[in-house]
Amino acid sequence: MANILECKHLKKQYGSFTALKSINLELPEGKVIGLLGPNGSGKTTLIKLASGLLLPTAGEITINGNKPGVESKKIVAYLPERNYLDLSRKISKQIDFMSDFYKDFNAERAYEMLDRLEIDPKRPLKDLSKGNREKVQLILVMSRDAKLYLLDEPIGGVDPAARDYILETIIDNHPADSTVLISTHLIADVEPVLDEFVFIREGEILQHSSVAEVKESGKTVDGLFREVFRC
Amino acid sequence: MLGKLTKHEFLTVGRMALPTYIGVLLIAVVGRFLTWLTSRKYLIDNVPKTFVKIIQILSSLLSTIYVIAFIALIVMTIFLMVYRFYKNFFTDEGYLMNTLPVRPASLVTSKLFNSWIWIIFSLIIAFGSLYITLGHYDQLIDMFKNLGTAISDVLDREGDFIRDELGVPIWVFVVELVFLALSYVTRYILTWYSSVGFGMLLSKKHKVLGTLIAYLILEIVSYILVGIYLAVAAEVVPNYYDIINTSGGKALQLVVVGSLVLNTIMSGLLFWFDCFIMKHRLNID
Repeated sequence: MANILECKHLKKQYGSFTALKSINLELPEGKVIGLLGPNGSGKTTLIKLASGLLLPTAGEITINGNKPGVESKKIVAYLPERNYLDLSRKISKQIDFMSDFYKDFNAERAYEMLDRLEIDPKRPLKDLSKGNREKVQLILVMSRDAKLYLLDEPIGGVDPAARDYILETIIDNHPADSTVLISTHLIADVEPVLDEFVFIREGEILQHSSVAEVKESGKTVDGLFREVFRC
Repeated sequence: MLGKLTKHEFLTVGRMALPTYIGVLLIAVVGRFLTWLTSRKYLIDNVPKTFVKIIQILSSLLSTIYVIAFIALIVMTIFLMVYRFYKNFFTDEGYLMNTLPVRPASLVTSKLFNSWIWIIFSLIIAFGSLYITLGHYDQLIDMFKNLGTAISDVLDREGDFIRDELGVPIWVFVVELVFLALSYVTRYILTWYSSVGFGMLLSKKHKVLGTLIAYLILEIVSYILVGIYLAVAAEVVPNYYDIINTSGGKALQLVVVGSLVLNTIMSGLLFWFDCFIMKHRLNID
């Protein structure tokens, strides 16, 4: 199976602080993968490097064989951990915007998902609650038929019901051959949807395994996480 | 993609700028109406003096408000130009804009186009509102007609002399002036863009201060380049000092063409710098 994302000796420093310490990682196509680690472990840095928002201090990161750039951005759908949309823009205009720039954006799917949540697309984002804004952002990302989804803390800071909705939306909408990388520290919530997981701590990859392997050994990913990251 | 970027940016800036444009025009129209009202003899003779006084006070007040709104229009245009570049690329909105599958050059160019569009719109609104405020339309039209006649008279009488002085046909000189204005405004816009980019590199915490310091540095650099140009021109142009001392026209040509070349080169360098920052030094927090 080909790899959609590869990191070779990837290092990222912010001044004297090293966020990623020369990591090597290969993520295959067609998997849902959890990027799991406590706060400050380097999850967001890795995702930002993959999306092209940060530049490596050393080493290399490639997406489908390309360094982050125009070609990689065509196939990567990125959900940041914060609001990144123009709040004064109507949702329908935001959908037009996405349709204009991403060939793989499915506007019909976006409107269907909004309809299910009873969110009026004619409203500007600023009129929505924080929770609904986050859902709209997720809808915009999951309305793309991307090859790689980079979802940074998609379930952080939302109630359990919203978590279920978000995870269902992710699982129901990503194409079968695409890879979904979900960064989170809420392991128990995402575990049921994961095929693989990557443990990351203080900028180092501790473990990259399949969930099935862990289950075969009679453990859970959540349990293993607690073991590995015990304070 | 450039067209799409420009379109969406135009719509966003339009949403922000339109209320100010409408406000300035509205103030101009109401102010003009009040001025017209207070100049009607019938009104002055037939309505209570207090009412006329109130209208006159309102008219003066509106004139003051108009001046403030006029200044606000100019400030807003420059502010929006810088703010949009900063907000769209270097704050949370950058998470969307910098992950679009477009080249940094397209992102910068779309902002440049929009700055141009809104500067022109602002000029139209400024002159339009001035036209409304000043009134005396017949006199204004006469003034422009007289100006046209005066120019054509001068050209008839002194055309050959001016041509000889400039060393080029007059229409060429006019074209040079137009391009000089275009290159100057482009450099001005790109200097602000580069200052924003440079400011991000200088300080992550004090971005505004960093931008202002960067702007000052870039302005100083541009003055140094002008100085270098003058020094080089003095060495390269044959009989440079004779030209400066004896022919005002040719000296003017040297200044205009030199400034045009210099502004174009500097605009190119600043554009390259903006793209370089976006491509190689982005590092959004």
